[in-house]
Amino acid sequence: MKRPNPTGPAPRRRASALAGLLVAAAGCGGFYVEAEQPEACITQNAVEIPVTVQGVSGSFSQELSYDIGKWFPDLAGATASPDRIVRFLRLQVKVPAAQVGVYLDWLGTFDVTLLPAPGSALQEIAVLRYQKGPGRQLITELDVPSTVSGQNLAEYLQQGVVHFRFAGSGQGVLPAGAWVVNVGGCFYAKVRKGLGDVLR
Amino acid sequence: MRPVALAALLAVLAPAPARPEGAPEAPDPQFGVALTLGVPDGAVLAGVWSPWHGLLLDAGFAYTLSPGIVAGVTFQPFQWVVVPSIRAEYGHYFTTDVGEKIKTWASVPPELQPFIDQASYSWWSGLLGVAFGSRQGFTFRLEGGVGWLTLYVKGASATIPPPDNVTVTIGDTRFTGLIPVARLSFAYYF
Repeated sequence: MKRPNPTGPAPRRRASALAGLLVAAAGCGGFYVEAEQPEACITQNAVEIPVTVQGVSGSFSQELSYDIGKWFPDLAGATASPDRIVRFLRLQVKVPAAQVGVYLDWLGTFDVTLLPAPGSALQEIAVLRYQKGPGRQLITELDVPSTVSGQNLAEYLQQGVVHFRFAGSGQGVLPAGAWVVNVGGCFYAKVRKGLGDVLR
Repeated sequence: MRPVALAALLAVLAPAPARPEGAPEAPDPQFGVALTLGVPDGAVLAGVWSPWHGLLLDAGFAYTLSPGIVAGVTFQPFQWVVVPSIRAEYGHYFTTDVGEKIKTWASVPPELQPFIDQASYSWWSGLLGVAFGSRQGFTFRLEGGVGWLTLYVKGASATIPPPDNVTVTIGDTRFTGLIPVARLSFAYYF
């Protein structure tokens, strides 16, 4: 099918304006790539946590480390900026599947505290607190949301690793010997890099 | 330049044969086919429709890591042997298993490989270019510009045995970027 060749100045002006916008976009902002992970959970399986027993009560304090940088290599640097964001979303505590008949009912309360690097000027941050509700029984899994889920914790990464202190107490049917549990930390991560850095 | 390549280039750049005086102007063909190679387009085979002088609409099938579709609108303001062009484009590549290809091309560390499996991507782009040849037959167009790319990598879960003994569950990861785009397309109008 064929048709004649009409011409007109208006489309040319519109094209020129669009061309100008394209050139400006290419020259001003710079090229970049951004990766966003809404939720990544790293669970340490079968962690042995010593419990100090005093009569019918017990307490524990254990340091946990999550190597986020291993799974998100671009987070290995420890600086917080709009280009590098790490947020702690929640902690999951779960009885390993092999431990049939073991429950978390004895666990009355625990706190999770984010630890800065040794010698750092940063302060410890309490990131969540769990308190057992009344009447809860036969608990095999806990999912506790962070109280600081909006805060950028990238500065707390040490070579990509973030360190927490997991401490609490309880009473009742206490674990015999060490408490074996799966402990998972869930994180939000976002990294933005210049295209040149990505290609390098 | 090799003689054959030079001859082909001259053939493309050669203006259409002069029409006899008084003869009506030859109308432009309204349809065509185009083969494009580009980034992030990949390889695209498209149909082209020109509903109005200087305006070219195209849509076609594409392939890079997976099958996809690409559609665009191009404006070439006038007719000559060399013509500037401006183009807006949208493309989408459907979800597919890109694991093996990504692992090969990008040297993904072994511990990350279980988490790269299904992925899809799409983009919008704006390009400026220059077209050579005749709308009465064969043309090729070289274009460059900027694009907004969105890549989704489907989440996955994997357990790494001791000594790590960790289970890692990663949700869908979204990559976005303002990137340079480029394409070289060959078109034949009929």
